[in-house]
Amino acid sequence: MKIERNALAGTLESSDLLVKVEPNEGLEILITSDVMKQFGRHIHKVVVETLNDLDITDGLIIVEDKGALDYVIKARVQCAVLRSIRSAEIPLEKLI
Amino acid sequence: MQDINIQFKIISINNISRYISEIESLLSLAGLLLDKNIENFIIAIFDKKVVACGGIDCHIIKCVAVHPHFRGYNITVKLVEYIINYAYEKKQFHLFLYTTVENEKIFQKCGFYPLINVPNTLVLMENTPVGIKKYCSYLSQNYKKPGNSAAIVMNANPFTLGHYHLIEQVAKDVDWLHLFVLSEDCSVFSTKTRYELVRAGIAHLNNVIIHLGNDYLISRATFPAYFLKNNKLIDQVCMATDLLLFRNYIAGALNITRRYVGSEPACPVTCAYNEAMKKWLTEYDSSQSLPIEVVEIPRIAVDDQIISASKVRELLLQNRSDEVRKLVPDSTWSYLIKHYPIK
Repeated sequence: MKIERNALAGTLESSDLLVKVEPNEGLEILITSDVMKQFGRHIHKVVVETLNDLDITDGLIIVEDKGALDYVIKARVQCAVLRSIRSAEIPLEKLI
Repeated sequence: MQDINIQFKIISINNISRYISEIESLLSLAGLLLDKNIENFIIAIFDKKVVACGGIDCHIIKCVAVHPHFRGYNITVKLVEYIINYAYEKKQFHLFLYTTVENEKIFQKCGFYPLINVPNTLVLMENTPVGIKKYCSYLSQNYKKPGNSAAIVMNANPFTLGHYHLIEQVAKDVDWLHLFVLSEDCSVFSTKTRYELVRAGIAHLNNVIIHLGNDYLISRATFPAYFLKNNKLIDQVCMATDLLLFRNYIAGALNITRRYVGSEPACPVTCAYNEAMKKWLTEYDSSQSLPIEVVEIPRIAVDDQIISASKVRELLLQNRSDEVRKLVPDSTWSYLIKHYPIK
């Protein structure tokens, strides 16, 4: 599935993150985090897994992380992606 | 620091009268002026008082100020977040923000990335880490040419024989000419019309590549005049931002080594712009990017009258079509007779 329109999810509060998704050729993930040194790779892994679960193949994913925990990251990424695709395509069974 | 209960509110500029004095005093505490172009203000209210504000003008965030007593509560981040969400609702995804050098860090925490830094004055930021990078790689992948490349930036409001003469002259001198037509829809002629007239007028010149200006070719209209109280400084910084974006990013992407301008001895604004070009494009101190040579081409005249787009607009208003005819190429003329009641 491709990201077809711009969407936003999350906040810039501490322990949260802001996820922006945009149409793009191929999948590109850009992460900025307050805890980049310690957890940058792990955050990247969670984002990639969440996107893979949703079968996202194309899109620019920009993450502004403020020290969020894994399930927050997952929820925000899912939310931004769902806002960017047509409702008929929402793979409900994959949202666990 | 503990959280305080703050409410955010969107106020259209038309209904601002109730808050205007509070907003103005807030801005003046931050050393800013109220910008005339703002469409909506987002205000933060605590205890019935406005404690912070931020304005939005199309896709540009300006006039962000927090009351000195309320700094340190992270209000800026919440305010900017609110503005971003509002802009997204209005389908404005690519946002810009002007701030002072001291406040750059605060906005970096809000997901903004610096584009241009005019020393000791201001920073222009955008809300994506890859915006300008993607635009530049798009330009170089599609339009970068071997040999020497030059650029002209114009508004062409509308396209005249003066523009034509400038383009034709330069096209003879260089291998490739990149022509940027500014996309500022506050001109008399719409961006589409201006672009089409340029295209029609130079269709036979096959080493000219026309680009429609975009967010990275900043026009005067979008520049934050509120920042600086001194008019002369406003002009200088406006030009610096525009020219540095060109030198640091666009020129490199297209291998542009020279920029051509038409001289305009009569107009002090253009004259100042040409001076600013010499400073911001050619001097080594102004930027770490390679300098760009600036070449001034004298304008042509018809009946001792220098051709300029503003002259054409003036004559159109006065219905002096026979005089207009002498100043524009055939393509522009046929558009004008179709759309203007010329006798």
